[in-house]
Amino acid sequence: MSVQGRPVTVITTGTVLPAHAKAPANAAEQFLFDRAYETLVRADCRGRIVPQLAQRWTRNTDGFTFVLRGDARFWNGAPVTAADVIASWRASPSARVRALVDSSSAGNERTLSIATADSSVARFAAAGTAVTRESAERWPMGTGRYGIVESGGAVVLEPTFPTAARIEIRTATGVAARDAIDAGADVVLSGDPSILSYALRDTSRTAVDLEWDRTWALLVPGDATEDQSIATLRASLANDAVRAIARPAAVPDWVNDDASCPERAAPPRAPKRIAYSADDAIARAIVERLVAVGRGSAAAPLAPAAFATAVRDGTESAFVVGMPYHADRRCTTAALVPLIDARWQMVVRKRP
Amino acid sequence: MADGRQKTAVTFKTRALITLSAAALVPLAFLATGVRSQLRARLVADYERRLDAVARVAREDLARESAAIAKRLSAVARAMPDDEQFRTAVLRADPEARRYLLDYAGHAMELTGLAMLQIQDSAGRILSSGHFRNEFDRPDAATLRLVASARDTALLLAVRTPEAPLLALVRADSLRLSGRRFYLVGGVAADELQARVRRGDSTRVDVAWDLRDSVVPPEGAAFRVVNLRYANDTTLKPARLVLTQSRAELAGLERELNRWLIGAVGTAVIGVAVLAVWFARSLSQPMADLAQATTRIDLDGALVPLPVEREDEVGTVARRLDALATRLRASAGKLRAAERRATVGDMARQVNHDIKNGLIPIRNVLRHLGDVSERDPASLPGAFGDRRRTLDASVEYLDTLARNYAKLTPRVVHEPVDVNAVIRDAVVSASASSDGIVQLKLTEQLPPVHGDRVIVRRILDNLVRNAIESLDERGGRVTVTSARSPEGIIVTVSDTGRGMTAEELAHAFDDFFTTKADGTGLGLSVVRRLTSDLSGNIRVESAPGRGTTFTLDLPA
Repeated sequence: MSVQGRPVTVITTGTVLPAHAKAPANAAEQFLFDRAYETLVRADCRGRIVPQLAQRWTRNTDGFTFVLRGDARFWNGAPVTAADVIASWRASPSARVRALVDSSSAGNERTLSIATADSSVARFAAAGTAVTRESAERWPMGTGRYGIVESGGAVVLEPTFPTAARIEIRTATGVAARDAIDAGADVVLSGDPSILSYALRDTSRTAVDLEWDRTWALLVPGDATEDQSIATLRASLANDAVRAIARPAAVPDWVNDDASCPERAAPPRAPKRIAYSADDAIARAIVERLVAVGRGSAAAPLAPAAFATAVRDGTESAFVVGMPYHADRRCTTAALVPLIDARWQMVVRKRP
Repeated sequence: MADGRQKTAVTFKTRALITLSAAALVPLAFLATGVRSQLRARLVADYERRLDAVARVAREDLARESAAIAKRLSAVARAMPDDEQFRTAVLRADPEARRYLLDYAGHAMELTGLAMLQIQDSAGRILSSGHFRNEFDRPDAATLRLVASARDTALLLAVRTPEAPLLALVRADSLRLSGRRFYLVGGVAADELQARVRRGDSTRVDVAWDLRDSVVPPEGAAFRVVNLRYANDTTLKPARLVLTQSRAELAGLERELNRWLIGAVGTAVIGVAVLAVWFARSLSQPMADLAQATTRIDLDGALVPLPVEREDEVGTVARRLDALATRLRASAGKLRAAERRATVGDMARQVNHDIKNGLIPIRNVLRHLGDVSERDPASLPGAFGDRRRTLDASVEYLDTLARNYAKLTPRVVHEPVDVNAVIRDAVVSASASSDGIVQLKLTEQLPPVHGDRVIVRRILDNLVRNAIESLDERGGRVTVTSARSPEGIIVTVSDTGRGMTAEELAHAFDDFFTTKADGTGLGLSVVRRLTSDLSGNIRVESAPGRGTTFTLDLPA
C-alpha cells in the first residue's frame, strides 16, 4: 500500500474511536483493527481459522493450549507473554472475555492453557479477545504490525517494520468527503452509496466490495407471530429505504439453526413505538419505513447509552438494532427479525 | 358644664389640624383617583389596540406565508420537468434513479426552506416525501384532494412524520410531465408560523384545529382569533389561530402605577400632616401663651409681659389686652387712690370722732373744775380728785387710740424670712392661754420669703389670734399649714369657729369692720395692707357654722 514513500491517505465516512478498539463498529475500524491488534487466531478470507498471535495451538481433553509466536511484540518492543494475554482479558469490558481468565493458566512465558468444553477455536478470533496493554496514549497498545497515533486530526497507523508506509485515516462526510476525494485520497472506505458513486466518477478508481459485516434487525421483547410479508419489507428496506449498500437480510445460521428459539423472525403485528439509536442513520431509515408501512406507530430516537439500556431492559415495545453480521448471539427471550445486511466498499486506485 | 351636659372640647389646634388636613387631602385623594383611573383606562385601551394590531399583522403574516409557500412550490414545479434524473425515475421507473427520486423531495425541501413536501402522482400515491423520506408508495389521495380544492388558500394539515404528526400550513401545486399530472403538497410547520406571528413575550399564539383542541385563554387575558381551515381526513373544517395577550405586563404597569400613586399620596399625607401640625401649632401656641399670660395679670401686682411685638393677629390681641390691662391698672390705681382718700376721710372723721369722744369728758371735767374754782376754790382739789379718774380714762383712751392708729403706718424692710419659724412664734404667742387648740401642718425645707419679719409676724399674729378668738365656748381647732407654691409659699390658717355670713365676708378686710364687741375693726384691714406690702395675696373662705380659712400667698 506504499505510495512512493508518502503516507497512504484513507478517507472514511465512519467514525474511528479508541473505545471501539476491541469491538469495531464499521469497516474503517475493522481496517484499523486488522493492522494494529491481534487475537490468538484469526479467520482468513475463506473463514478458515489460522494462527495469528499464537504460533500454534492444540486441542486436548481439557481445552486448548496455545503457544505464542516467539517474535510477538507490543508496539513498544516488549515481548508478549502468556501472562500478558491473561492480563489483557482480565481488563476487558466484556464479561464473556473476562470469564476466560478463570479457566486460563500460563504454562510458561509462551504457553497458555485454557480449559473449556467448547471445541471451536473460532471464539479466540473474536475481536474482544485481542491482546492489548494499557497505554498513556488514547489508544490501547497492541501487538499488530502497526501502532496507532493521532496526528493533525487523523488517526495514523505507524508501521513497526521499515518497509511499509504510514497510513493516515481521516473521517469526513458529505462535502468534506467529496473535497477529500478530489484532493487525491488513495482509499475511500464508506457505506454511503453517494460518496462511493462520487469517488468512482474518477475512472482511475475502482470499487472493492467488503464483506457483509452488519445486520440490522427488529427486536421485539416477548412473543410475536409470524408475518409472511417480511420478505417484501426486507426488499423495500434494502433497496429503497436505507442509504447504504444493503441487501435483504440473509438470516445467519445461528438464527435458523437454533430450534430452541422458535419465536424468532416474528415482527410486531400491532403498530407500536419503535426505538433506535439516534446515531444510527440506517436504523433510523428502517424505522421510518416500518412506521410508514404501518408496522410501528412512531419512531423513537434514543441517545446511544439510553438505547443500550432500553434494549437490555426491554423498556420499549420494539427496537431496530445494528449488529455485526457474524454476531455471536444466541437465543434470547425476544423475537429477533433480521431485516437487512449492509456492507461497505473500498474504492482504490486501479493499478497503472 | 353648668347645665350638666357633657360636651367634647375641640381645641382650636384640633380644628385647625382637621381643617388643613381635609383641605389638602380630599383634593389630593380626588386627584390620585382620577389620575389612576385615567392612566389605567389608557393602558387598557393601548393593550387592546396592540392586540388588534397583532391580530392584523397575524392575518397579514398568514397571507404572506401562504403566498410564499405557493411561490416555493411553483419554483419546485418549474424545476422538476428539466431534471432528467427525476423524469427518468417517474416516467420510466428506472431502478437506478429510484433513490434519486426518493431523495428528491428532501433536497427540494432543504432548498426551498419548506418544512414538508411530498410529490404525488395523479392517483395520490406518494412518490417522494421530504419530511418522511421512507413514506414512499403510500396512497394519500384524500389529502391531495382536500389541499388541491383549497386553491389559493393555505390549509392546516396534520402531516405524518416518523416520530409524531407535524401540523403544517400547506398548499398544493401541480405540473404535467409527458401527459401525466403530478402534484406537490408542501408547507411550513405551524410552530414556525406561530413563532413568526408571535410578537414579544407577552403574546401567546395557539392553534386550535380539528375541533379537538380548545384553547382556553388565561383568565382575564384578551384574545383575538384568526380563522383558518383544517384538512381533516376527508373534509375541510374550521380552525383558529388564537392570539392571547397576557395581562401580566398590564398588571405590572398597574401595580407600578399604584405603587407610585400610593407613594406620592403617602408622602403628601405625611407632608400635609406635618405642615398641618406645624401650622395649627403656630396658630394655637401664641394664643395659648397669651391665654396663659392673661391668667397672670394682676392689677395690683407686677406687670405681666404680653407678646405685643408680634405683627400678626395674636400681636394685635396682645397689644389690645396690654392696653386694656394698662387702662385697668390705671383705673385700679385711681380706684385705690380714691379708696385711700375715702379711707383717709373716713379715718379723719373717725379720728375726729374718736378724739372728740376722748376730749368731751376732758372738756366737761375741765369745765366742771373751772366752775368749782370760780364758785368754791377750796373745794377744787376735792373736785379734781373726784373727776381725776375720768381724766385718766380719757387720756388712756386717747393713748390707746393713738397706738391703734399708729399701727396703720407700714415700715417695710426686706430680708429672708423663715416663714415656718414665724408661724411657730406667732402660735406660741397667741396660744399662751389656749394650749392644744392650734395644730401645725408645716412643710419643711421651704424657701425663705423676702420681706419684713415683723410684718409677717403681725400678719400671722392677727390671723392666728382671730382664729382662736372665733372659737366659742365649746372649743374647736385651729390649723395652720405651710406649703410650697409655684410662686412661693402658701400659708393657710383655718378654724372651726362660727364662720362668717356672706355680708361679713364681703367686708372682712374693710377698715374698722369687726364682729367682736371689743374689736377695733382694723385687724384684717391691717393684714391685707401688710400682705400687699409684701407683694403677697390673701383670700378668705368662710360659711356660717363651718369655720373660716385664710389663705396667704407669699412670693419667695
